[in-house]
This record gives sequence, structure tokens and C-alpha cells, in this order.
Amino acid sequence: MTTDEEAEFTALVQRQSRFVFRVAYAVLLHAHDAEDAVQETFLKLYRNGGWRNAGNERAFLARVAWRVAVDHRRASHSAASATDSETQAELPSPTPGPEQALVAANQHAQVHAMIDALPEDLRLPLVLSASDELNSREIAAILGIPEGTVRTRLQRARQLLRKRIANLQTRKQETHYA
Amino acid sequence: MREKDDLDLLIDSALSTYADPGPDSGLEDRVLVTLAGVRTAAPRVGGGWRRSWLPWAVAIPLAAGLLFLWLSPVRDKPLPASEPQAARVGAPTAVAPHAGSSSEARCGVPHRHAVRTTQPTSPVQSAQTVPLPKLDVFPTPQPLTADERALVVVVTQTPLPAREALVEAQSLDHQPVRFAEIHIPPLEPPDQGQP
Repeated sequence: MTTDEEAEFTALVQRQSRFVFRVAYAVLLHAHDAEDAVQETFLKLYRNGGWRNAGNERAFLARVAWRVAVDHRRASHSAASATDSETQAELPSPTPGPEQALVAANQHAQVHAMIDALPEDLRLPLVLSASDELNSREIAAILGIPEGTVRTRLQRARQLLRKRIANLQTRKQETHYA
Repeated sequence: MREKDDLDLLIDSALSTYADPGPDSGLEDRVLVTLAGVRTAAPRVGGGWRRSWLPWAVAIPLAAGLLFLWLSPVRDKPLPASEPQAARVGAPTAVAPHAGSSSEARCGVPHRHAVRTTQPTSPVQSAQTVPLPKLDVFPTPQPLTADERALVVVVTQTPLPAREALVEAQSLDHQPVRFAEIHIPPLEPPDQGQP
């Protein structure tokens, strides 16, 4: 790798590390595991040089990071069991759910916990869509699913979040008046 | 409707900070430190890879060349396939090449023995035929063939001018036939006034 390419790759790391971290975190739901995936993603890109031919930089990085994170989760078996299925997330749990556990926290932390509790097939498109410059077509290419499926999952994810946030606010009001 | 808009804004703002490592997390620095370690190790790894392949890069073309040289004389042999090469080289019937090559090469008589008939087509082939194995028993001379006997008769009983004419005629076999110019004198009209 030439000096110019080294500088270019360093700029890529500084520019996109946080984005890659987001993608990895959306899969792994663990900060340390996500950072390991970020390191592994950039090492992989540095060694094979595929980043030079990337047309859409973010879409390319998201695809590589997603695959690395999925492989990392398979290897470590550290996936959160709370995100196995949508029905499981909606069932009342004997242990305190994310809403009850984060009553005292701020609204963003509560919503983050709800996003974590979403099923993975809904959470990934939602997190990727929140990142800049990634549209439904690019998300579909990254995840290997049809574009219409991406839109449907985005809609379902938002509906679930709205429903849970509304339930949480209703519960807060009831607690307040009681 | 107003409540839905608020929820949408809340979700969007929460998503913008979701999985954000924070401005001072040092994530980029840690990634770059890891890459720096790989960069220092990369030339050594690459050099080792080149060193491990260098002998193969030399040995494979060399082996291919040797294989080609070994196979090419066998492919170009003009002899019939029924006569094994071992018989030509090591058999006692193989008369010394210098003994038979003198008269036969001059006269162009059809050959019988492989050692005498095989003309080297390449330096490699001639190098293979020169070092004949040393025989324990001197080879037994074979009787002359009909062609050889005829040659002996021609050489011993034909006078020298006839032999030279024969050799010259053989050398002219492949040249085009030439005809001398034919001069036809013009016909003269018969004399009319003569008595």
C-alpha cells in the first residue's frame, strides 16, 4: 500500500468508524463486541484492499461490518436472547422489561432500550435507515432482502416503537396520578 | 395526530444517538493503533511470502524446460516404432557407427541397422547417441544384405568412368530436365526453273 493509500485509509477510518460501530452494535448489542467487530472490519478491508473499489462507501462498509458482526456473534454465542422473536418481545416477561428497568432514565435511553428489544430483522433496517445516505435500496442490498421487505420492516419497527412508547407514557401518567 | 408526530420526532432523535460511542470514546484512535501494528508486520509477512515462493518461481520453469528437452527427441525420432531404442544403443548387433557410415553415406544405399541409419536431428539427440556403452563381447559381424552385396559388386567390378557417371546421374536426379535448343532451318522453296 502506497503512502497516499495509507493516508486515504486512515481518513476512511476516522470518517466511518462510528458508522461501522453502529452497524456492529445493531447486531451484537454489546459495546465491546461491537468495537471488536469494528477493528476486525477495518483490518479485513486493509488486508484485502476492497475499500478502493467501493462505489457507495457507506453501503459497502455497512455490508462488510454486518457480515463481520454476524460472524462474530456466531463465534462468541453472545447474542442477546431477548431479540429472538417479535412475539417474545411483546409477551409480558416475569423479569422487568426495558420499560420498567429504565423508568428513571431519560427518554433516549428508554427508546434505545426499546430498539435493543426489537427483533433483529426489524432492528437492523431501522438502524441502517437512521444512518445518513442509506436508502431502502441500499439496505436491501446490504441485508440481501427485497426492497419492499425493507420498507415493510421499517414500518413495522416504527409501529412497534410507537406502541411501546405510548404504553410507557400511559403507564407514567397512571403512576403520576395514582 | 399531534401525538404521532411527537413520537416520530422522539424516535428519530433517539435513533440519531443510538449506538453512538460518544465523541471522546477514542474509537478511531484504537482502530488506527491496531492498524499501525498490522502495517509494521505487513512487510515482514509479505517478504516471507515472496521468499517462500521464490524457489518455486525458479524451479517450476526449470523443470518444465528439462521436461521439454527430455521429451522432444523422443517425439522427433524418425525410426519406426517397432524398433526399440534399447536395441539401437545397447544390442551387440549394433555395429560401430564409424564402420558402416563410410561407404553407405557416400552412396546413399538404403540402410538396415538402426545405428547406421539414424541421423541425429538435433544436438541433443547426437549427444545421446555418441556415448555408446562399452560391450563385454565384441559384436559379431553380420552378413551383408542384398543391397550391400550389390553395392560391393558395383564398386569392385564397374570401371571408374562408369561409377562416376552413375554418381553424377544420381546427383542430377532432382534437377529439372533441360533440353537443348532446337534449331529448325527454314524450309527453302523447291527450285522451279532448274532443269
